[in-house]
Order: sequence, then C-alpha cells, then structure tokens
Amino acid sequence: MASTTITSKQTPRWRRNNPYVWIAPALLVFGVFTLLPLAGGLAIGFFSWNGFQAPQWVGLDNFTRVFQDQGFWQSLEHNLIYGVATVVGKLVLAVCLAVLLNRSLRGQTVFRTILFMPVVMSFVVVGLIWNWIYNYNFGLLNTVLGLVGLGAWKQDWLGNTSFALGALIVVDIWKWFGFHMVIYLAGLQSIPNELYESARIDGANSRQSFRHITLPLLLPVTMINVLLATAGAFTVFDLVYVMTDGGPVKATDVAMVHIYTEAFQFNQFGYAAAMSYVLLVLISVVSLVLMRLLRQERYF
Amino acid sequence: MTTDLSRRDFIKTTASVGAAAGLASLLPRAAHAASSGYQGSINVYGIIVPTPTQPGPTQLFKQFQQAHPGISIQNHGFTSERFVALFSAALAAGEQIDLLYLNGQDLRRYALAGDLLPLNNTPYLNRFMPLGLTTYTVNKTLWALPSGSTGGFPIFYNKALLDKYHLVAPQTYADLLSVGKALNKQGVSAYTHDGKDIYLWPVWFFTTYAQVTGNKSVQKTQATLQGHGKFTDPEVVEALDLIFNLARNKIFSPDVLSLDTPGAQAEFLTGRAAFWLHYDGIISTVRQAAPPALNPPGMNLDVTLFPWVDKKTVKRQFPGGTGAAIGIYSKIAANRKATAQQLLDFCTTDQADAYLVKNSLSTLGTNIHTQGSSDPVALKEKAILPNMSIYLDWYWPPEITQAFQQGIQAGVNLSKSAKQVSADIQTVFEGLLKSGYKFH
Repeated sequence: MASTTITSKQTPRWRRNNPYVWIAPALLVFGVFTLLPLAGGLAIGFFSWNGFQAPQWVGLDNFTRVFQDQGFWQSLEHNLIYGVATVVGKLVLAVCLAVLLNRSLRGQTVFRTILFMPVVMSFVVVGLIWNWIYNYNFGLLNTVLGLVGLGAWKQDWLGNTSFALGALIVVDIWKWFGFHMVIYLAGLQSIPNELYESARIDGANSRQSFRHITLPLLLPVTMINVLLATAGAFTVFDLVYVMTDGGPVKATDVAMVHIYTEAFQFNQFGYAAAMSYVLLVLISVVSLVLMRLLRQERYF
Repeated sequence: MTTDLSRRDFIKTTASVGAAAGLASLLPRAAHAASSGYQGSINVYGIIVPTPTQPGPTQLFKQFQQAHPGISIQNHGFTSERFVALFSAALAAGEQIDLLYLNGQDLRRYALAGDLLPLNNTPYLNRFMPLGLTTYTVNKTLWALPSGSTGGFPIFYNKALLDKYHLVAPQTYADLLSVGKALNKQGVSAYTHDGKDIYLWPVWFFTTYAQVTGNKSVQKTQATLQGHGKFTDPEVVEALDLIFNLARNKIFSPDVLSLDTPGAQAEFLTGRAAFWLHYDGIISTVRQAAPPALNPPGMNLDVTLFPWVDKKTVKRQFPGGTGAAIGIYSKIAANRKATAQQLLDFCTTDQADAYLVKNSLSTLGTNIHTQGSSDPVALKEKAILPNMSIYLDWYWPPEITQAFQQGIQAGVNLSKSAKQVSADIQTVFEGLLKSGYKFH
C-alpha cells in the first residue's frame, strides 16, 4: 500500500496519463462510430419516423409493440433453431478437421487453405453458388442424388418450407467451419505434447487421449467458439437475404431480415430500432449466461 | 498479321458497334440548350442501373453534360427492390438530391410525403400519352413525368414447345388446366415464375382480379382503399383462388417458390416450362441471351393474354405501367432548379423516349410520337396494349403489397386458402386504418 503511494507520488502526472493519450484515438473512433450510433439508434426507438418526415415522439409504444409482434418472435424462433444447429454443426466439424490437420500430413497447408477459403468469400458469392447447388432442375445436389439412385429425394430445397431453413443452416456451416477450425488449431497447438506422451506410457489409446486430454483442454477455445457462433447466428442477415429473403412463406424469416423489412420496406425506422434493441438485449443476456458459465468453470 | 477473331465474333462486334452508332444517332441533340447559369453537379436518385449493353438514361445524361459545359450529372441508381432502402438512407444522410427517377409504384409514396414538386404547369405535357399523365397525377397534381417504356406482364410462351406436343395457347381457364396436364405428362411445366422474388407474385392477382371485377380492378382497388369495400370481398377471394387453383393443378414449376429471375429464365429458355407471365423485357433477353445451344427445339417466342377465367364478355387484361416517373425533388436548392428542369425536359423529348425504348428493346414509349420496337413479338404486344391495366400496387400502401406478396406465396404453397389470405390482408388494412392511413 505504502509503496503504491510512493510510486504514485513519484510518477509525473503526464506519465500517469500517458496510457490514456495512447488509447484516446481508438476510444474516439469507438465513440464516434460505435457508441454514438448506438445511442442514436436507441433514441430513434422512441419515435415514429418514416425516414423522410419529421419524427414524432411515441414514448415506449414501439417497444411495447415488439412484444405483441408475432412475426418478430417467430423470426427469433428461427434464429434459435438456426443458432443451435449451426453452433453444433460448425463446432463438431471444426474440431474434427482441426484434429486431423494438426497431425503431420503431406499438403497440410494446402488443406488448411482450402478449408478456410469459404470464410473469405463474400456472402453474395456464397449465396449465388449455393442457390445454384440447390436449384431444383439444374442444381448439383439434385443431380448427384439422381446419379446415385436417390432421385426420389430430389427436393426444391429453398422453395420447400420444411427444408429451406435447414438448407441455409448447411450453407452457414460450410461458410464458417473453417474460421472455427483455425481457432481450434491454435488451441490444439497450445496443448503440451508431454501430456500425450505420458498418457501413451500409461497405456491410453488415441480415443482415450482425445476424450481425456484434447477435449477438456480445448474447452476454453470451445467456449469462445460457442460465443462467436451464437452471436453470429442471432445476427445472421446476408446469407438469408441473398438466398431466400426470408421466404418461402416466412419459413426462413430471421430477426435481422424482419427488422430490415420493417425499416426499409415499410419505412418504420422507429419500430425497427426498437426491435434491434430488444434483439441486442437478448443477445447480451445469452452472451452473459455463457460467459458466467465460463467463469464458473474457470476457463477465463 | 493474323488475329484470333472468329467470323462470329467479328459479326457480333460489328453488330454491336453498329447498334451503338444507331442508338447514338437517336439521341436528342441539345447542344444549343440555354444555360441557367448554374455550374456544378446535378444528382439524380433513382432506379437507373446501367449495363454495358443498356446504358439507358445515363447516355442521355452524358449528352446533356456535353451540351451544358460545367454541369455534371451524377447518377445514384439502385435496383428497384433496393431503392426505398437506399433512398431513405440518402435522405437520412442529408445528401443533395435534385431529380428523382422513380419506379411508378413508389411515386404515390413520395408525392404524398411532399418530396416532389408539382409539374402541372410543364409547357410540354402534350408530348406524353394521356395514360402516363393520369397515372402520375395524385390529388389532381402531376408529380412526375413518364419516361421510358410503356409495357407490362402479358403471357410469353414458347410456341415451338407447344407445337412439339400439338398444343395451342389456352383461351380459357379450363383450357389452361388441360394444357398444363398435357405438358406435365411430358415432364414440362406449364408456367415458370420467379416466385422467390416475392414482389412478383401480385402480378398474378392483378391479372385475375382484372377479369373478375369486369375490368374495373383499378376503380375497385381505389374504392377498397377509400373504405368502400373490403379485401375479403368475394371478388378478391375469387381472384386469389384462381391463382391458388393453378398450384393445386400443378400448373407452376415444382420449384416455383425458390426460382429467381435467372432460374425462371433458365427454365423457360431450356424448354422446361412453356409459359411465363413476365415483364416484356423478356423479349430482349430471349433475343440476346439465348445462344442456340440453350435452344434445342428452337425457341419460338410468342405473346398472348391470360385466358378467360369465366365470361368471355370481359376484356382479358394484363398488368403494366407507364414508364419510370421522373420528378424534381421538393427540397432542391433554388440555384439548381432551372438546370434540373432542363434535364427533365431533355430526358422526356420524343427523341430521348425513342432512344430509351430502343435501348431497352421495349414495345412502346411513353410519348405519343415514339416509335416502339420492331421485334415481331413486341409488335404483337403493342397490338394488345389497349388491354393493359395499371399495376394495383401503384395504389396500395407497401404494407398491403407485402400482405398480398406473402399471402399469394402461402396460397401457392397450399398452406393457406384464398379466404384466409384475404382475411389476413384485411387485418393488415384495418391495422393501417387504425394507425391513421388514408388513401388520397
């Protein structure tokens, strides 16, 4: 305690403020481009505003309306299904591939690059590619099904209300598993080799090593992946917009598409802002729960 | 010296150069236009998205710039379905807007919001076809001038495909069902449709509603919006059910709900579907985009009207519009107004209209004296133009348009009946009325 006081007295004021000077530009950018629009968005939520006439104060009306809007809650339900399926799908695929690519393998870098490629592709390109893969008449998927004698399974994948959301989930998994795989690879490389050697000496086979060493030590990385993938699933927009635009018959209408429609098709900017904030609160709650779980397990 | 230019490439290149030169000769000459004294840029916000083969109005802007040194025309063009979103963003950002080049369906919204200047006193109104002026008049005020092509969504079909199966274009609804059945037996769908693009579904309703209302669809729509009718009225239900019945009878392609325009186009061009209720831009698409390899049986494009659904005493109408709507932004700076007015005049002359029609291979222009396309199918469409009725979503508020879009998609998916869909639409309308909506 005493030493702290002495240090504080001895350190010149300009030096004590030095860190703040260094982070000031970043804080300024964050404030102007993130905090300010956030506050502005919240303010719009209290107005009825069509974007080109003067806004009218409506108090909490927009927020109350959100809770009565069945369409919004239905779209959130789609987000939930989308979230669970994509998080599980992406992470299982990512961990399996990461383990495979962590071994000494000929052409390892090439495989890693190929598997990471979908991550850097634009959503529009991915959407267009998969639109054609799913095309009923000319698509790769139906053609392959026909070739392997499963012609009866031929489907209008994006036009059938029962399959459309699932079809999008597959594309999302394909697009993002490479990203999670890279995080897992980093996690795998931080596990000391000695642990595997000791286990081998103790007679553990590779399955047991994976179960009792790899998976537990990958848990912190898994939680980061879960957090990122969950937040992504609740804010998904581009892929749905490009591939189905929320259809058919709202079968793939997710929260962000719903909000976009309200804002830019009906020009209900106030109501759309209110919905965005409800969504923000929901995502924050989910993220906080996950982070609390992490702290309890001492992963962070 | 040798080149790798094949004979086909040479002919294609020469033809393109020739077409470009031909189009250029059609452009209006404005070299002696009076200057308003303003120097700087004029910002046009609208639906002009030029392509290398179809520069559209941007070519007119270039001509105007050449004739008015010091003036630069900035085109801020967005696709029709994204226009509202991006235009709202531009307004919110406080960008300088001078001219609006709108889709006809958006005109009412911006006119009533006070975003346009009245144009009733424009001295050259006699150059336009009266239908265009009537369409862009809201509450006795003319808010925009028509520009480009007059045309719409008749039924295009592949006559070669019908001939192959000894079928003819159906004249009645019952004929359509039997033609559909016969085509299905051959593994061909009767109708393809870009049903993923939800905004295209209402054209079916415009088509059927025109007939069930005895060719009074516009009047009935206006009456309903004014509160003198309901969307649950039997005529609305019947018009919707006529569409859903097509789905029940497998008249549409099996993948109709996931087809976008390129997908529907692929089905139509490869003979997987015989009919397409589509915008007449398909004429140029077929002429330009269908190489012989994609055209095995020979695409013989033809045009017709939707069959009679009941009484043959009514006119078989098809939905359409009277070109783009060009108006002057109401908050235009005073020093830019005269130049904007000059540009408006320049873009709507007979010569400009003729160029725009030729450029988009359209059927007919918006001006009285404009010659349309000489394509045989376009000439056939020109002959049926008296049967055109204005798109009803040019009157509907966007919420009703979306209710129709989603309702028809649900009906075609057979997940809702016509009665349910019409009830849903009425509910949306009542919600609008409660929030103060009034049709003007």
